[in-house]
Amino acid sequence: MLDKLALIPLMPFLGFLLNGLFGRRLGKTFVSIVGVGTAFASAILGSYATWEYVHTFHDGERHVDVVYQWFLSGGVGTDIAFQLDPLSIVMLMVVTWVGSLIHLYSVGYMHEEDGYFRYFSYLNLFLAMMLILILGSSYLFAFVGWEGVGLCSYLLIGYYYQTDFAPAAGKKAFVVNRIGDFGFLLAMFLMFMAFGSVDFGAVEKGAIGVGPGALVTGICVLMFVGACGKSAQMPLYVWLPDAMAGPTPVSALIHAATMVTAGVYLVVRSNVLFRMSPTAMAIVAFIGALTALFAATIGVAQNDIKKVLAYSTVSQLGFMFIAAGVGAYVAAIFHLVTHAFFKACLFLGSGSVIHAMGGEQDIRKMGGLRKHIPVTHWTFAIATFAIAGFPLAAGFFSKDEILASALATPYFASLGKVVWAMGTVAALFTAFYMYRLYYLTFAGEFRGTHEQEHHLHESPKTMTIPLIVLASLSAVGGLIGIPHLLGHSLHIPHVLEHWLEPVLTKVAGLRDGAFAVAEQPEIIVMAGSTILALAGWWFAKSKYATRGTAADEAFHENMPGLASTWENKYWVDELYDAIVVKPLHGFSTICWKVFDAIIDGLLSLAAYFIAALGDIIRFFQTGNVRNYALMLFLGVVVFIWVYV
Amino acid sequence: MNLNPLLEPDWLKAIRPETILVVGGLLLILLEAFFRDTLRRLLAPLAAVILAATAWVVVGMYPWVSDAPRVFFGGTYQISVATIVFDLTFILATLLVIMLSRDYLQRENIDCGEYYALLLWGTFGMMMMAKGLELLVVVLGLETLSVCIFVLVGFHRRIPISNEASLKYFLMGAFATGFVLYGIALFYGATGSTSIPQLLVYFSQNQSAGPLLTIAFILIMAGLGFKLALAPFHGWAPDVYQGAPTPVAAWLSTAPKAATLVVLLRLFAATSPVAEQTKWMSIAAILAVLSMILGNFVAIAQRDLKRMLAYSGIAHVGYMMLAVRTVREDAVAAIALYAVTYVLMNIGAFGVISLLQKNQNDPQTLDDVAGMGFKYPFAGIALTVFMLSLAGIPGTAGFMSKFFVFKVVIDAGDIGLALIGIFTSIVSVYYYLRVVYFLYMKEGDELTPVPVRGAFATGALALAIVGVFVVGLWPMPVFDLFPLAANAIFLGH
Repeated sequence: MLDKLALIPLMPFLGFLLNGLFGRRLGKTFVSIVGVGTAFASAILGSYATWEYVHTFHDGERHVDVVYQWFLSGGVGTDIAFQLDPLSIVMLMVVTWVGSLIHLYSVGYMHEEDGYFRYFSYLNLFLAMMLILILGSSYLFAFVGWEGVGLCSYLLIGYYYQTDFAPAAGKKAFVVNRIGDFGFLLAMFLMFMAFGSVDFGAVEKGAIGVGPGALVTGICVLMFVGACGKSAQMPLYVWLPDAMAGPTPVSALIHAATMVTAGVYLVVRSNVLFRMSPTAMAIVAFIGALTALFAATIGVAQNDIKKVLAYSTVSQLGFMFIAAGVGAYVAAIFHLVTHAFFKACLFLGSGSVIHAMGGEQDIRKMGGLRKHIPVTHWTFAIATFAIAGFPLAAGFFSKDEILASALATPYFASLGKVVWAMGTVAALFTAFYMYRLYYLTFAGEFRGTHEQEHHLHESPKTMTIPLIVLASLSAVGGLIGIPHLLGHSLHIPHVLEHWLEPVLTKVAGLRDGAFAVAEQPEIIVMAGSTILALAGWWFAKSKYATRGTAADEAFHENMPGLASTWENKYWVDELYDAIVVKPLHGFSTICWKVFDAIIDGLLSLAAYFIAALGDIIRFFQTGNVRNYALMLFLGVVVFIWVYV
Repeated sequence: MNLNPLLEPDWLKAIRPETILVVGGLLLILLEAFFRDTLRRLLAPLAAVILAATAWVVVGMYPWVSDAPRVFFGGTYQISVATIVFDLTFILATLLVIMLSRDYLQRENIDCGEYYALLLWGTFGMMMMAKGLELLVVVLGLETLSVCIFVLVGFHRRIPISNEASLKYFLMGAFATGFVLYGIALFYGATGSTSIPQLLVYFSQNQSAGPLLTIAFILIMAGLGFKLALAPFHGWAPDVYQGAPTPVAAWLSTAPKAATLVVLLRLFAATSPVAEQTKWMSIAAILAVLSMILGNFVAIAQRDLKRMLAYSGIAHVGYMMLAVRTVREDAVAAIALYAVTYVLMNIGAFGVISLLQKNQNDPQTLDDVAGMGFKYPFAGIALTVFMLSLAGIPGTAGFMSKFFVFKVVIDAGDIGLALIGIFTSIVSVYYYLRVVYFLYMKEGDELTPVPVRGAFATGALALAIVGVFVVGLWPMPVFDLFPLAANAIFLGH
């Protein structure tokens, strides 16, 4: 299997072809079997490859499987090659298994939709592209996947193309991502110029050879611009909340669990380069902290169930970048994994709620759903418990590790403390908005219409099974990364840290990719997180558990400024509209009105000339054989005249 | 016991593919004559089987010549790895065209055995051109091919435009062949030989060429330039493509050009010792540049798709010409890759157009394909793929071929020419993508023609689509067939 890694992305790609070409004719059963079957097939093949990898390589070496050489000409060549190493394996497991569960869930969720085959073919294509992104052995090949997932994201956000907002949201995602991709491309050009290759291994070696400096910093910053686009960090996060216009399983798969974490993967993948440039690391950490806090505050004032989760995703991605920025790469991947579990569970749970409510997404019209949809409720409760960071749940360990690392980072002491403080406040807000969401949705009295109440029902098995699996993972997923403070006395190792160690190449003269956190800050952070989670929960419970939306109204009355700032998301969309979109539009209008007149004039002139030229050519192109013969003859005469 | 010193022991084996094609063509005509009604539906499949058998024999020759090329008939006929690849290219082109033709001919009610026989014999002519080391053998191949083309272009006997095209091609072709023969005669007069290896020897020893030889070279260039539709000898191409049955136009615009380019590769290599002194290669450069500019810019103004493809073909031959005139060993592989690519994408594009036509009289313009992409998804996707490939978008064969051709040109030091090629090929993106734009973003009227549906035509298009992606994503096997040393022998130095 290790020499057939290409099969893993090939499976869903086949699904894409089959569903795309024949799905419409062969019906929903066929589409479901192919769509879900190929996803699970890639998960099983991936697991088998992992099993073989573990038995073949004992030190976490990088295994590169060259499928073939795309082309080689002189010194310029590119391989089509896949790689397996501990980092790719972690991503592979998350993407294929969580992805397969979401495929399964989609069977129930999308069953009534018209373009069922279209949906599954896009979803399969997305999975294939995501696998190329994480298994590709060079920045270039990863970029192919990077662009591919972007395309699928665009197609799936705009899935409900009959509406006004969905295509617009898709377009927004596409345009904003293009800005980030431009940064990624420039980073690749720089790599190619400086190191002559874009292979992961070669770039790492080349960078070590060149040493720290403006070049490496430039590459890192440009790469982070790309990561900001794809992983929705400030200032390029604006597309992700709008992306909720797509079907809910898409939000779970693409806009929470997998694609949006690609930026984090990219930074961790390039950890040697980033470690050479504390400047770039500081930028990453600060942008991450800013995004985490900023998005968490917005999440407090949203009333659309998916919008709350969207801002939560932006905020949690910020946490991952905090980790990557302070040099705690293991923590970044750890949070990426646990977040994939609980956020996928939350999104799928919200989908189940929306399904039960007949399409309603406003949490002000919900309430009291606990007794109507018990499975959804319990799984949602566990995932909320995990994201809020309650002790022993998945989110507790990973978030705790991030904050402790920020406090203890050896790269920049004072900025580390600032980042830690911002992250801690964001964690408090996280617990609060998540429990606000939970109580408004599931507790209290039902606030919807009578018709909706009558319609309430639990979702089918295809939807509840993924929920149960993901909720279980949210509960116990944190065990792969028990902190040293607890693990040491219990003799439980930090599994993920050992697993990822080989990826964090040791380089002489550079700090290691992992650093130990002293006991003291760890205790402070751990205790602090627990208190914050409790505080957030208690505050939300006291406001929303029984009184429904009354607390929000009170908040609006008492602090109208803050409430409307948060509710309107700091008017960032309006700001961008004012400083980017409108001026561009204005400029275009000026160009259109003024320059167009000039250019039109020139064009008419040119057209006149071309028409004249056309007449001349037409003189020859008469369709008359004699003229063609004359041309042939004249051509020969002219050449002989010139050359002899 | 070898009685005739001119015939090498294995000569029968060497011309096995040619024999199969010629005898197969005769068989088709005989079957048509005696079992007209019963066997009519089987003619196209039978022709395809004959081609497949030929391909099988051609591939079987590989171990025979993989170490060194073999020469037959007194040094006039060469079989090498390179000629095998070009043979297979011709066979692929003819096979695709036969598959496309069947449904087309049945719709037009001109399904006859001689049509397929002529295609097979034309393929035989091309093989002769590509293998001939003697200019007279080349001319024999060229004329065999041309006679087949004259008849095929005029195959629509009842449609005036088709007759007109045939007559034009006949008259112009006769004129051009006259130039070629005159040029060969002058070569013979000046050097005492018409054999390409002998010419190479002559030029290596004398290191000079008088005005007589320059005139000879120009005459041959003009004659072959006519066959290639190089500007300014291109005048016939748009009219003939428009008038010929569309599958014939597809064939005519691809395979014969590849065969002619092989001849030029050999001829240029033979004259390369005096290239510095005579500046003959600048003639080729002028023709190439004229073709790229004229082809691409005039194509913008065309609304009829077949005429547009005619001008685009002029430009593509211009790109290939840039590589041919470098006479580098790696140019052979680049040209072979380009030839395969061009066969796949151009025949594919003509193929889609032949499906969408109501009949031959109906000009197929951009407006006629408006909105087709959604109405006929397969035809739409196919045409889109071929247009993207013709434009040279990465991932498709067109990108790879252009990449390698321009790379050869740049490695040879002709940066300026390469830039002209790249610039004009950017211009070409405009008119290729305009077709895609019409396919998907324009509303068509209700009167759009109903496409032909047939397993054969669909299969041909599917084959071409797959081929475009295979060559685009996996081009190296073609190059692995061309060790540079072998190319040196192919070129004769």
